[in-house]
Amino acid sequence: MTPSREIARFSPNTTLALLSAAVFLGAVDLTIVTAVLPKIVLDLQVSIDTELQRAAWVITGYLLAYTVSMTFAGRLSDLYGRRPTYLICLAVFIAGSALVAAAPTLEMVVAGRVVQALGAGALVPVAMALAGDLFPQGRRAAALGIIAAVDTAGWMVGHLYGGALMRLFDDWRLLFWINLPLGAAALALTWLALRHLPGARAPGAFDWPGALLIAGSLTALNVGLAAGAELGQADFYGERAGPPPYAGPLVLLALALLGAFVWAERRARDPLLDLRLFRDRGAAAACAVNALVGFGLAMAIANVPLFINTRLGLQHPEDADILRRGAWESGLVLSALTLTMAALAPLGGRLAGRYGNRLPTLGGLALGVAGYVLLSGWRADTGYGAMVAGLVVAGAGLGLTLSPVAAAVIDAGGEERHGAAAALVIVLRLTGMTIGVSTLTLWGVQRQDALRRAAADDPAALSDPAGFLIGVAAQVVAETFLFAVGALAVALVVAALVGRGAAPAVGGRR
Amino acid sequence: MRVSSLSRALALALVSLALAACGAGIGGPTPTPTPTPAEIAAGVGRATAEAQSLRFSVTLAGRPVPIDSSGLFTLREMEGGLQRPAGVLATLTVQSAAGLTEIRTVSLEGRQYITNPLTRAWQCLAPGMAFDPAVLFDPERGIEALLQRGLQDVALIGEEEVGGRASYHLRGTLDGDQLAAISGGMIGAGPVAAEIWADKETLRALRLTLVDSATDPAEPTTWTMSFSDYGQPVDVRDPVEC
Repeated sequence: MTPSREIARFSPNTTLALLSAAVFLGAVDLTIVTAVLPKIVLDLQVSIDTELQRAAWVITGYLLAYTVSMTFAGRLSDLYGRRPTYLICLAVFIAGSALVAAAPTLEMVVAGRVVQALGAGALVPVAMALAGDLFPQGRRAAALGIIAAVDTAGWMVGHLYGGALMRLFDDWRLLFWINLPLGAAALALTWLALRHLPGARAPGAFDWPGALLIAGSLTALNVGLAAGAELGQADFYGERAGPPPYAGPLVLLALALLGAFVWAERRARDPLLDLRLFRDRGAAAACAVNALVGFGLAMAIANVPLFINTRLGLQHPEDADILRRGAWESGLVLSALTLTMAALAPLGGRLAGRYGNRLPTLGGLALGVAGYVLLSGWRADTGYGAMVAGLVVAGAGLGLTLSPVAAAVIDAGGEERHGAAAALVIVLRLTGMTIGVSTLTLWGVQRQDALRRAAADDPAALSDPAGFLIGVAAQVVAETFLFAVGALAVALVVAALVGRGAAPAVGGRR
Repeated sequence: MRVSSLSRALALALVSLALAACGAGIGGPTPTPTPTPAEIAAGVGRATAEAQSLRFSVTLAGRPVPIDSSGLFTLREMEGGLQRPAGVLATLTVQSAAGLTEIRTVSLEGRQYITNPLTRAWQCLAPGMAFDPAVLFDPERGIEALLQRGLQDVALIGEEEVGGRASYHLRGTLDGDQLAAISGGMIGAGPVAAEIWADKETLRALRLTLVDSATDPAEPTTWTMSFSDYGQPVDVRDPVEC
């Protein structure tokens, strides 16, 4: 498609702003739920002993569906038209929001979240493709950058937005009802803004095998990991039932499907993902680093609200308003990570421009490792000041890596594949986040169960039950932060090894 | 949650079991063609009592029922099974400010066990330390006896389908003091309105609702109990050695 003067009835900048608003709305919903999940769990009668792994699907389901729809929506818009694809995706997001808001059960919440995310995730690549149509070549990269930045900013502030709304209205359903008028306004305005968009459709076919294989792989991996969380479950007498027999095979199936996806993409005439990008060692390394950064991010985004709400709930069991307070305080504390990331991301970009991508990536990852080491020192009585300090260090480190890592991938994509490469950056980070949440659930559920059982003869546990449970939560949270330390350390090694001798990308901008 | 508090919850679990235990059992002879409501009620008590095993579930609606003295923990639902002659297991779902949690309990031939909600480990209850669930099956005091002899103002509402089975629908009143005595006071501050649905053919109880309006007339607690899987074995055993 080529830029059209007709589109300019709404200026490209105005149209870009409208597109970005809807992308922002969808991205906010990625993390908004972390602020309200404890309230959802309470309202929908989910057992904190045996059903937490089911509740985790409220987050994982969204991440997964968001990631999957991002992989193929751009291509769908090539084939069936940008405007109808974009508007349908926005409508799907609105419908999903209504489903969540009205959901009577946890299963319905998860189903609604998946519908929401299928729409919201698709908005990102379609908006990027639209930006490619709207702007001439010289301004296209900046427009793509704005959409990617808005998407990142959305999930960065989602928890704070959720916490603020909970503090004001104390109603988690409102957080999703509010998407209806906002989404409808975005739908109407983008419908108007895009009405003169040429309806050109690209030739070729949709890569159904590729779409099904990557969706199947990601789904099997996350369902397999989540099933492993049932390790902590027991039969009536407490004997370990072990993980369900399908957990291990599902993870293996995920790997097999991923292999089949790579095989299929290399032979497809119109592949979903252009895997030639990965021939560039630097870009491939940046992709791996990006996914590992996403893994670390998920640990903090999930752990902070989990720990703060657990501690507050146990310290103030008589306070019926405690989850409202928890949502707000979690949002504020987590902002130390996300706002620092947002603040340092431009600096990472400037450093990359001056010294190449490798140096800020290595520095950021090293800082990130240090931050997560600090976070892994959380104890039952760790105050907000210490939490914020660790989160600021981690956020600064991760923030420094965002731009150089993205630049390494996007640069390797070449001018004509900026959109696809930018989408790939987000997809990989989200994939890392999805695996991070599943890993946290897998470890957390069984570990806290084991710690509680191990204290059967501990008089201290019985004399101060609240203190005991807070201690268990702190230990589990600290341990899962060590997973993030490990992931970022691996990322550091990958960035250091690959960048040293070879090609640009992580090692330097083209 | 203290053990004494948990014992009240245990008692409550066993109330429902005892309710299940009262009735049915008329395995052979068919009820008389036109039994009186009182005769049907007594038959339900006998038939259910004669069942060797059953599964039950209880859900609560209306005013929350605290199971500890502080009122921080309230009972939401309960599921379990009964295996004659003296085995009962149950999982109680309890709500607190932190969310829902589970407590499991076993009563077997006079021995009692309960899971510690903190450590999830089984522990024994010393004799006399807490309520003895066996009392619920006491032929003189238990719900079984109450249904057979204590259901007052009993009336036959009609015949209805419950789970695809033709059933009698009875209504009556149970004595609050007697219910309170066997439930640790969680139910029965006053007379309790009872409705019973029993299989017309076997007279086994299928469903029982108890409306305890004495505590809060505006929002009475309603206990809905369902009984199923009659004759299916229930694995009741000692969880630990004491």
